[in-house]
Amino acid sequence: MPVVDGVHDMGGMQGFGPATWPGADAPFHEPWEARILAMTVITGFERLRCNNGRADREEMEPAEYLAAGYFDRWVYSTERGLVENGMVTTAEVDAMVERLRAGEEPPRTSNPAQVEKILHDLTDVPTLPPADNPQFAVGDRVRVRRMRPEGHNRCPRYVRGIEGVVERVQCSDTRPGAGAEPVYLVGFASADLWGPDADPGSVAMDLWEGYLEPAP
Amino acid sequence: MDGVHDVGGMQGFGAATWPGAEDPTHADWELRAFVLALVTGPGSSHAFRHTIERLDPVRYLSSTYYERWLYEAEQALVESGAITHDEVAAWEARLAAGEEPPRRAEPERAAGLVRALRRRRPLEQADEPRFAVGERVRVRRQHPAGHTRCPRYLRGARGTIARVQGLDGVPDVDNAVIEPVYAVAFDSTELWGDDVERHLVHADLWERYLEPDNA
Amino acid sequence: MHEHGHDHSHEHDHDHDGFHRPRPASEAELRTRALEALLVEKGLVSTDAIDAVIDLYVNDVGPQNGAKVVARAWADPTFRERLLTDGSSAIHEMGYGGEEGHTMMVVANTPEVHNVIVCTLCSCYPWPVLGLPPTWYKSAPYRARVVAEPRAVLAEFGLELPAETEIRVWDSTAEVRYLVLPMRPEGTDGMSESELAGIVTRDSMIGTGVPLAPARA
Repeated sequence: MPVVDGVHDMGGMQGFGPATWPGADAPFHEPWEARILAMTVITGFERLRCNNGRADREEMEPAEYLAAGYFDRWVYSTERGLVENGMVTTAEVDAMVERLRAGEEPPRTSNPAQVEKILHDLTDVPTLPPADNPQFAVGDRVRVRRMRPEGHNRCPRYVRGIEGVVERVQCSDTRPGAGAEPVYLVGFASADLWGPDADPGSVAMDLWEGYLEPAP
Repeated sequence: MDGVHDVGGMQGFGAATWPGAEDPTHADWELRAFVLALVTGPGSSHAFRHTIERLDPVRYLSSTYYERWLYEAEQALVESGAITHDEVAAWEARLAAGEEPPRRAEPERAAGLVRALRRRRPLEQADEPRFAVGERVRVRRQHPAGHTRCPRYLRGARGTIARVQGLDGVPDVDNAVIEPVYAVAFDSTELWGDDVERHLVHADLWERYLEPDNA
Repeated sequence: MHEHGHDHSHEHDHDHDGFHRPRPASEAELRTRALEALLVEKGLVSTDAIDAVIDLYVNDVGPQNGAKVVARAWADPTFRERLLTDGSSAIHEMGYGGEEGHTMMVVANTPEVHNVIVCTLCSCYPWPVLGLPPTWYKSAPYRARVVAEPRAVLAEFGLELPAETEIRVWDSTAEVRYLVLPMRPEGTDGMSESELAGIVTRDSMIGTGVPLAPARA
């Protein structure tokens, strides 16, 4: 069942403790974390799995999502993506775990063409094109639609139903679960998000046209 | 506080019911934890709930219901200085070693507790409520650091006063202030958008959570 | 970080300083090793491709890139203007671009507004100019709190802003990636572009910090 408004949608949530701690500056803490990152990126570009990583991670059982380390979630979604695309089976991965435990040396291979391709793919990604026929213009007041989305989406709960101002017509991009649409940079006053006691300030984010309606 | 306990509208939790889920408890200890929390608790249900809401999010989601009541009972007693965690751990070890737990009978006190639980205290009538039945209101936006009974999924939503329920202590200030509570009706489309099936959601909301809907 | 050519099935691992000590491998670690072994065995991914990607993001790409962008903007007002109006072109012009940074927007700090970047929904971050995100950026507390109580969160990073400075938080909800252009510190007039790059910290380009004070001459 597709999960949307799941615990991953954290903006404004409380109870998670301090924002930083000793040791939290590094991107990795273990070598394996770098390897799953690399495998995720390569298998994505090589189309060995569909690029559904975010959506898959959002479908983790809520307590597991929160308890998992960041790269634990990547292991979950990359394995799942490869299994769903028929590249590996869960049984094969289980069996390999046992083989490695039993002392088997994993294979090492070299493929210069694959190295060249992935380095090229990672560095040569086109900028998103300009928006096509945007409904809204800079300065327009818009309201974020209330919704109960049926699939992965990029509209955080904390802005649903709230009015903001279009600050930029950013680009055109494919809205998850839909087609190509204009994307707008929308600015929200902190008081409109969090109430009159909020520190004066603002939050801005990129929202697809399908998430917005004209403000009443 | 806007913690993970505030699950209204959230998804990803699985099926609403399953075999075995019809029963309130599944083990004797759960009933005893329930009663322990009730009889030792801080007099206010607000403090009780807030303690549970302050549980680490992962622990909150991965505990069972009465595990959270047990947590609250121990936490409240420790915070009041009545016991320490070490003392509880020491007793766990003694019981594991086969020691018999003590029993004490205080019939009058027990009867008093039962009377207290049975006492009927209906809400007092609100004489001068700010809002009237049929009036349109909007739920205020807020970011409460402390306890509240205004769920996130209602923030900013417009509804209609369905009933003036009565006066009650405001949970956000632990009963220090008494205010009218209203049953407010919300159209499902107001909460979840036009594509959702039509239904009504009623919620009981304290007066301070609401403002007139001037639209 | 070095990844050795051999793999140990008995779950030892090498620390950065070469210590070799037994440590129980987590399930995720075992799964990762098994996935790699399987993908390599099946000829789908090569070991050196994995090594190359790691090398790219550990040794090659990193905040030193963003620091150069900032330094150039400080030194060159025309570039700064281009950077703020068309971040993608200006950054690509300097040779930085690609995955998680193909479409960029640069936001300038002023005495009135301090900018800070987050991705509340996951961990989106401008890889080509900042490398890979720190653990705190990807974790629940920062993701949940910075949009609602930015001043308190920044204080936890040791950054206290004047009360008159408003904070704007940028939530990376789509595929545009953001970079903060910090204010140029006082006392840096005589500095070369490469010296300026040396005082631009990663956190100052996320918004959880400010650039270093220039060293006394």
